[in-house]
Amino acid sequence: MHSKKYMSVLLLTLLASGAHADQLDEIKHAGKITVGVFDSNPPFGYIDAKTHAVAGYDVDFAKALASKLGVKLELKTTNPANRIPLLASGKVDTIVAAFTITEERARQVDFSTPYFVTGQQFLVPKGQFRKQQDLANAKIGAVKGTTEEQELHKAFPQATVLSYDEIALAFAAQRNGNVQVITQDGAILAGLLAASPDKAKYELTPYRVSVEPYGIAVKKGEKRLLDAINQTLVGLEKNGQALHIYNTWFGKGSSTPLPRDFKIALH
Amino acid sequence: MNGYHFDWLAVLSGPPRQWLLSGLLTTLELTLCASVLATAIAVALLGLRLLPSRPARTLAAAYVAVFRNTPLAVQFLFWYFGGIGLLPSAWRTWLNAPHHAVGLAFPSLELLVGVWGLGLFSAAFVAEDMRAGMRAVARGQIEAGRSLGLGAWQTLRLVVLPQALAHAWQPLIGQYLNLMKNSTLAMSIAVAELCYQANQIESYNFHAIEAFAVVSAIYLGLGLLLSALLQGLGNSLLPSWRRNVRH
Repeated sequence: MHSKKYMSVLLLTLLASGAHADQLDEIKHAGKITVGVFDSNPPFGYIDAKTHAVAGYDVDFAKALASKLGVKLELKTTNPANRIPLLASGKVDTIVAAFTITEERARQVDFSTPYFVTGQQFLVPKGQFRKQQDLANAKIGAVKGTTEEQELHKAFPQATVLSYDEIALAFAAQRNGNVQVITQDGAILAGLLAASPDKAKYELTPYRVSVEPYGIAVKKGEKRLLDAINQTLVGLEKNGQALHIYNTWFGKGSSTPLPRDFKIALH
Repeated sequence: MNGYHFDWLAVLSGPPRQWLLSGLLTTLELTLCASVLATAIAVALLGLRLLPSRPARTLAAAYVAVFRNTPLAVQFLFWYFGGIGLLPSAWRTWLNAPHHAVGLAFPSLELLVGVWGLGLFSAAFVAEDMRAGMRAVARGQIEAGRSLGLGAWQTLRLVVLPQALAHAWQPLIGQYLNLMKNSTLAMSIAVAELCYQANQIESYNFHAIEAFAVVSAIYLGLGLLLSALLQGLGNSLLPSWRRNVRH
């Protein structure tokens, strides 16, 4: 009978709160949120050489999320291939690790609204190729074996595409005048331009051929947690903290300056 | 057994097929033009070597030393990224812009630099093989020519050169085959030859094994064809030249 009583209490608890005891409650109850981040993907998540702690754009968002929820933050480092398994097995509550929102992934996890947007951009001579159509017949330098190289054939079938072994060689060819523009991921081009001695002559295009929005991932069906994350993200945009985090990692004084052309909003 | 499933259609149809065909055409253009350039330079070098002037001979020796002792891959990068930068900017603009003449597209700057780099490099080897052929001609042949009343030029043209060419012919076939194979290195300067296109297929549909198998077969075919052609050319040219020498 002891056990009977115990069972019924347990059942009652399950009925009363169990239906609503989702991950958000568990997080609040435990007083901590576990977040999966990268540790070798600067500036999103990497080990800081001085502090030996994980730092980066993603980490700052994880910190802001924990403080908004009023819980402690526990970081778990992961790699690209391990992100979905880590989340599915419940070892982390969320993934904040440069996670591009794709249709295929969205079948396995739920994504927040984008908190970072990157994509295939172009490095052009300042003031030229203002519109995407201007690239239609251009001589474009790319890097062999990249998705960007493939995308060019689809997006600009009339353009002349020359592929080099590395982005640095493509840039050398551009500075020589052999190609007019070069293409890569926006963040990579920004880093390349930052290190260039004649950076005043070139600029990144405001337009992109492909868009890669990064989202915070939660387990499928955790609607309340997802809502809380979305509200936090939109709140960070409103109070300027999202911009502050962006400028820390991609602002003018950073090692990868990249103009911010997105705002966090609910879709 | 989980054997790899070969999908030959993945490289022999659609865009990959187009890429391989255009790559083959580029490889042929590159090989042919660079062979002509290499031969012309090699003959000029041989001429310099035969001149009585010491600076002329030194110049030819220096050329061979420089081009034979530096890697071709480095030479390509040097001409493309360094050499082009030294040209006047008006020339560079013209070379980089597309041009059409009599309905044909003017070759791209990359192909021109490829022909230039490959031709200059190969010339050093071709010249040395020609020189070795000359040295194999016995001294008595020259003396015999002179004692028959032939002038220095006539002796060279009628006695020495035909024999020299016969001696050098086999090694020269090897040099032109090397030139054809070395043309693959031009992909580092974005010349869209066969190897470049095979890489393209790899990133397009990940069928690298089939792509490189097909490309290897094409190179083998090209090599066999080229050596058969040169062998045939040698057979038809050299005996008649020897006959000329004899009468």
